[in-house]
Amino acid sequence: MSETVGLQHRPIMICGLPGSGKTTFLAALWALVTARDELTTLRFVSLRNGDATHLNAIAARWLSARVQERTPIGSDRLVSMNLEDASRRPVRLTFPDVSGEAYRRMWEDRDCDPAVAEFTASGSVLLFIHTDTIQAPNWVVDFAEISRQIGLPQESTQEVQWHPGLAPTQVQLVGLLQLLHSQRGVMAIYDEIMLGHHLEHVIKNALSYATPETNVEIRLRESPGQAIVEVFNFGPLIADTREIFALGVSDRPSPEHMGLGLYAARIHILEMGGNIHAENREGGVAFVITLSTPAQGSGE
Amino acid sequence: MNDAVAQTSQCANPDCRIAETGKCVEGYPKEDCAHFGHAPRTPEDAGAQSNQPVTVQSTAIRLPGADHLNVQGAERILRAADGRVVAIIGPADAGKTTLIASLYDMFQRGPVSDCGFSGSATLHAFERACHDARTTSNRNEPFTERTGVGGVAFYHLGLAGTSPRHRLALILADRAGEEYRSAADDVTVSATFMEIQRADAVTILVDGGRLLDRGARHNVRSETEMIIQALVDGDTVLHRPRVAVVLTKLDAVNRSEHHARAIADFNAIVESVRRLHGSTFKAVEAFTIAASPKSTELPRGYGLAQLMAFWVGSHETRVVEASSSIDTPARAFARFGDHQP
Repeated sequence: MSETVGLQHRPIMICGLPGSGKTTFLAALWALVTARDELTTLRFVSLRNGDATHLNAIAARWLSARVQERTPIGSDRLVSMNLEDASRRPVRLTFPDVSGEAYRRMWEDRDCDPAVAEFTASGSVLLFIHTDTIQAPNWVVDFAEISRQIGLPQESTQEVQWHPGLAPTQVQLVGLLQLLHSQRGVMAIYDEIMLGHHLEHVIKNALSYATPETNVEIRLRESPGQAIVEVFNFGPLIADTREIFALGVSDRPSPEHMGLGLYAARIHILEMGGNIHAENREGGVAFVITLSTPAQGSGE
Repeated sequence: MNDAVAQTSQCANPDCRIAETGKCVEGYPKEDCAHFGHAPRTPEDAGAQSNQPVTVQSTAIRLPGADHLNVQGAERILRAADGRVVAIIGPADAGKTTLIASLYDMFQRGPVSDCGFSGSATLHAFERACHDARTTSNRNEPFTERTGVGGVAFYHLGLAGTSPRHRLALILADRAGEEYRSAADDVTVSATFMEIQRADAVTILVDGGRLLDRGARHNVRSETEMIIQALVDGDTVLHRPRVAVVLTKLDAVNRSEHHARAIADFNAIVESVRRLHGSTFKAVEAFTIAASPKSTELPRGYGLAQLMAFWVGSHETRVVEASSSIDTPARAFARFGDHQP
């Protein structure tokens, strides 16, 4: 058990289009760290707390200079390595060995394998690009000019209908990274019960003021050191966006609206180290809740 | 392709692309794969064979699409970021979609008008618009599909300066030319042009190809003026947007013996817009472009960088920063950063 004291668990997403070398990298990495010949920054510790069958199999294939088999679709394999750093602190690296088709489907079919989604919050991504298979954008006019210059006759061929898989490699990878970014979870420091209660209050408030047949939009985004939740509704603007958080202020005073909700929300969110404010925007109002995010590596 | 040939490359596994790549997606040799050589299976096929209702269960998480944005989608982006809405108007075949596609394609090679590419929510829409000018289409000449009648669709381009703090969402509106033309017949139609009412810059395309046509050239001027008149009379430009009047297909104009006449006609249109509506708009500027030339005499996207600079306007996307020891890759796509608008 002493190995797990101060254990740093580092999930790392390995992604790339089919045949980009993800499994080969894992095989080489495992062969390198287990050989213990090279002085690596992270060093192999033990085989405990894990199943090394897959890593051993792919490393054996790599050591015998054989091409890796394609990762089967839907295998959703997780592999872990127990390592330690120069100060002998244990580090456990976990990688998903997901088939490249899972990433291709993200770009082409707009769906995400749950195994991939689980790793999007990791914040660490290794992106693989196979240099031999990069499909650069090429244009008909340039090709026609080259053909003319070298005297190559232009042949009439069957026109090809558009498909997302025909996009240049750089576009597919940008699309993929955008999706990974948008699916990435945001870590924040908050009191779950209190935040849930106040968020519900803010959303109900937005719904009650929203212009009929419009949607209330809830957006979560991250900026350095902050997680930001925005609740926007189309509807009337607020005359004084600061005063509404004061005790006893309500624009529809009644036994149900005593002006406590937003006041309490602000007090509790401030106690969590966050803040809440309202903004008049084009066509409506946004309530913005800002929460602190944990420092990297703090394990919160 | 005859049936026998088709059968030799098809696979029952819908994820397998052996017909395109020559490789089994599962990594098996063809002779060992149970799916190879069989027609693709669909849920309907399975139900027909078993006489049982088919239930398709998927654990996949649905991701946001990458096609055109509707009005709500465009508004969502504009609420989250500094943005510019550009309405591109003109008669059918004037080159609206070609302009949009070519501008996007210019970012494949590097920054445009000092702006880098910082992502897009409409990558599929852009790629589809570009396809018929790319070699992957197997075409011998660049082509652009006409925009169908049925309302406005938006493209999104995220632009970045040298600092991550300076980002701008460019929202490009595309609508069938027939719809803009119909506003000249019934001015109330222009009230439905949401993109014009929200536009920071209205871009009016003048078809250079039609200006070369002796029979059509007088109509070009008349159509352009009538469309602008409809926008003014329909109260869609009360917010005084900036206006770019753009001569398209400059490559064809330059090649023509009627080049000088076409340019003179275009200048007359620009002067007419300034004279009749100069006070209605913040600015009226003239541009000449060759978005997708049919030959290499002019570079692809000729004139678009200047046009984009006009659209972006005074927005400061470039700031001077301390030099970095890291070389900046030439390709804008390689410098993709935070896509969040």
